[in-house]
Amino acid sequence: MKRNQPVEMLTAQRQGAKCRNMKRGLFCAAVVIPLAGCVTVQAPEKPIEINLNINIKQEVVYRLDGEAKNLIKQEPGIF
Amino acid sequence: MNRTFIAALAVAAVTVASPALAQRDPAYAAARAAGQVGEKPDGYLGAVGNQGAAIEAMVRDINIKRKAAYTRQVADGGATIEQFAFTTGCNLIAQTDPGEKYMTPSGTWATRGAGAPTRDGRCL
Repeated sequence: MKRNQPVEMLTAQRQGAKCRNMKRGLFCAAVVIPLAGCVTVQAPEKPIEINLNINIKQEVVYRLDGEAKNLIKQEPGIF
Repeated sequence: MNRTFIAALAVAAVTVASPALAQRDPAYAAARAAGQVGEKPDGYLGAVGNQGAAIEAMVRDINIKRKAAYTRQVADGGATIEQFAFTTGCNLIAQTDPGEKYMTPSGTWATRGAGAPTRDGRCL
């Protein structure tokens, strides 16, 4: 704050300083808040290999079920 | 040809004619009982976690034979290998003994209990 200045100028300077500080604060907040929301993502060590998207309708299961049961009976060694 | 020879021939014929893999290999049976290998929903066998080279090789060998069997079954073009394998997988999981391992639809290994196993909704 500078002395020997008219009151109006001092007030304006204060307000200007306030404004600048507010802007600085907002800027800081703008930078800090997203950082606080950062999420650390780490890829798993082994590749994920899940083959569960098998394209089959239940009506096909109905149709094949008997043959599948027979196959298991006929070749028990591999099942 | 005398009778002994004919009898021996008959025995040999029966032995050759019987299914090539009538019973589970003892190593396979032991691995199943120990929960080292388990049934997967896609109709193939899987090693439960890291089981070492011997078990992995056995699993690979069995799955090759299973795939060959599935392929023969769909040779008439009625379904895809994957569809037949899935249907067989439904049955295989249903036929697991308590204590054996199987994979649930979510991809996690589970131990078969006394009740019904957790299977894909399309299984019968």
